Amino acid sequence: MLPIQRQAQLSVVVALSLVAAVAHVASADDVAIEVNGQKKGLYPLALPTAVEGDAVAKEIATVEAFDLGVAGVFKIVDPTSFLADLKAEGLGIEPPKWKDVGAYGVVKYRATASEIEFRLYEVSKGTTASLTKTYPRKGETRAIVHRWCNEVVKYYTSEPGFFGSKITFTAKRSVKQGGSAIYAMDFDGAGAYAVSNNSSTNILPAFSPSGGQIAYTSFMRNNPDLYVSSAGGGRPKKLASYKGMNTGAAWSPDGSKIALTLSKDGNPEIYVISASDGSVISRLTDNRTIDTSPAWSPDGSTIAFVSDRNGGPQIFTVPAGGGAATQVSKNGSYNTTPTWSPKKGKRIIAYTTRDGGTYDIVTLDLATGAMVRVTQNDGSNEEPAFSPNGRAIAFARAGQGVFIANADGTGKAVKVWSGSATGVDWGPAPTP
Amino acid sequence: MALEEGELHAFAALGTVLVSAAMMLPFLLPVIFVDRCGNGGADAVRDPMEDMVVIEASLAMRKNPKKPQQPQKQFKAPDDTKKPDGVSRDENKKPDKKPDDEKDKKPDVKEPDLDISKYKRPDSDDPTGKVTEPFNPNASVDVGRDAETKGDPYFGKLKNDMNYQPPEIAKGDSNPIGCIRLEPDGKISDTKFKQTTDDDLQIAAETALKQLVKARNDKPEEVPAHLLQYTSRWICFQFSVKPS
Repeated sequence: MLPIQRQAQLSVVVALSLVAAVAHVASADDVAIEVNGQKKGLYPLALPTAVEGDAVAKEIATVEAFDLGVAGVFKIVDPTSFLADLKAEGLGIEPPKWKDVGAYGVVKYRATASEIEFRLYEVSKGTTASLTKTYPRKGETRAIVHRWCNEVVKYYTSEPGFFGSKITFTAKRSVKQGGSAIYAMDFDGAGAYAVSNNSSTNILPAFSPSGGQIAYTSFMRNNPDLYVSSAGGGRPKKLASYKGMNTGAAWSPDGSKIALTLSKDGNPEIYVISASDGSVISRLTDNRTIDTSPAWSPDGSTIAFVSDRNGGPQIFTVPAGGGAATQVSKNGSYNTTPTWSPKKGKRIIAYTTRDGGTYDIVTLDLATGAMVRVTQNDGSNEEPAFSPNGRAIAFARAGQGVFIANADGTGKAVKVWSGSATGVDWGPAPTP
Repeated sequence: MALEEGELHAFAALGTVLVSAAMMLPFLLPVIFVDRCGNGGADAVRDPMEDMVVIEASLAMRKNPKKPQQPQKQFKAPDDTKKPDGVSRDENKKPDKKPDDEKDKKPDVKEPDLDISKYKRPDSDDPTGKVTEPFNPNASVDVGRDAETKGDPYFGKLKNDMNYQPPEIAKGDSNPIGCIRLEPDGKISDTKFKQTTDDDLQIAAETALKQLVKARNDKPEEVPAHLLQYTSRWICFQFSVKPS
């Protein structure tokens, strides 16, 4: 029999040995494998409709779902999958319930007679809202929701949203009226109105950088001349009426100049004219083939255009101050209607390309050569225009109308206007 | 010494038989040989013959490569539809289409030949797209941090089945660590997070682990014998994102 002191010492030693053994096993648990992923794809966002409230509550949900659904960065979580008790949650959230349905973010709101309160939750951060805004209930509810959605986009991307911006396009008038007119509308198709007010053919509208004016070509005096009118419509001012074509206006980023196609010297060439008096500043192309559809890069340094100098129509770029043209489109034998992404630090164009018997929209990163297909297997899609933040692209689908799609090719295109539309252009971001 | 007529006939008949026998000998000998060897031997005889034929044929092929030819002028039959030169008296005739003016074409830029169809997404209904890069077990050298897991294709497939891909605008750059208990039959019996974070990457990691559990429990892949030792331990994944 060991003395008590000796027994105690032995117990301590045994206990320490056991602890050490457990610790050893615990460290041996770690069979570590590194998983290195890439941030890519859309952000799952849940947008539950407020349980309480009047008809406005439902309108808010509808507008919010549309806006954030076409923002180009979100994937709206299917409401039928929600597990949370919305009534019990109120303006708060139970994070595990939202995590279980795959939501990364949740937007809650509450509409009273005097105000609308919105809250954005990041599920990983728990029950504290990451962004809260309260707006007085004045004016259109849609406009209030647009403002909130712009805040959400800015929170995640640090870029301004495009909700509240406008789109302009050409649409045929009725058979009885004949010709075509220039229209403008909110980006989501609401409030469409005629910008041109003549019975002739009017085509190829282009927003000025400020969004206050629209330039377009009209045959109202038989020759295709260039006119500029207020974006709200009204009497247009004739800007360029050179002999032959005065078409395809593209404003310089500072709004002082317009690039366009003139055929005053024979065949169509790219010129730059003054936006104030229409006088010719420079001629950028000079050859015996057709050069058309100019588009000014956001930094003002380059103009993209279409030329058939190498056979079929292809996209070329030329320095805005003049110089040698370079072919940039390399796919297929038919590429037209280039437009520049406004994304800062990037040189990305979108254009129409022919694929078999139909046309589709693609984007091309001029720095890397990377191409992204924006539309496919769904109608004939032409004449793209980037949203003010470059996340979305509007385009015309033949015989169907104006659509919006994510510029990165994800998701499905959404129709915002029904009819026979062409010549789509997207105006600048709304002022906050 | 003169021979009787009967003797002459007898010699002639004998000579005929001898000459005929001599002529038939090459054909009769193999038959006799085959008969002696039986059926099995028949193969033994036939094969070498056939081989010889094959070898000869192949040699013949090698000995007669296609001779290099000088460039040949392509002859073309005269075009029957060619219209006669001169002035047409047909008042309804439209002018012939002139050939393209080649002077306007600049040969310095190659004709684009990329096929746009290759840019088609695999599934237009898939809003986030699918991971199209196939897993290559032989290229999984980056798998695992420890020497014991590095490069093992089974662990590489585990990683691949998670499809860890945080959304483009996900906030955070943390490193959650999630673990699984792997059973010998390849199913996953338990999971835990050894290190949690409070940003979007935690949700991405949890989603990835759920995908792995579903994939492996729906379609288990038996653990290879050399990895069975790990079925009694937690297998942990440290999640990180590549810098954009």
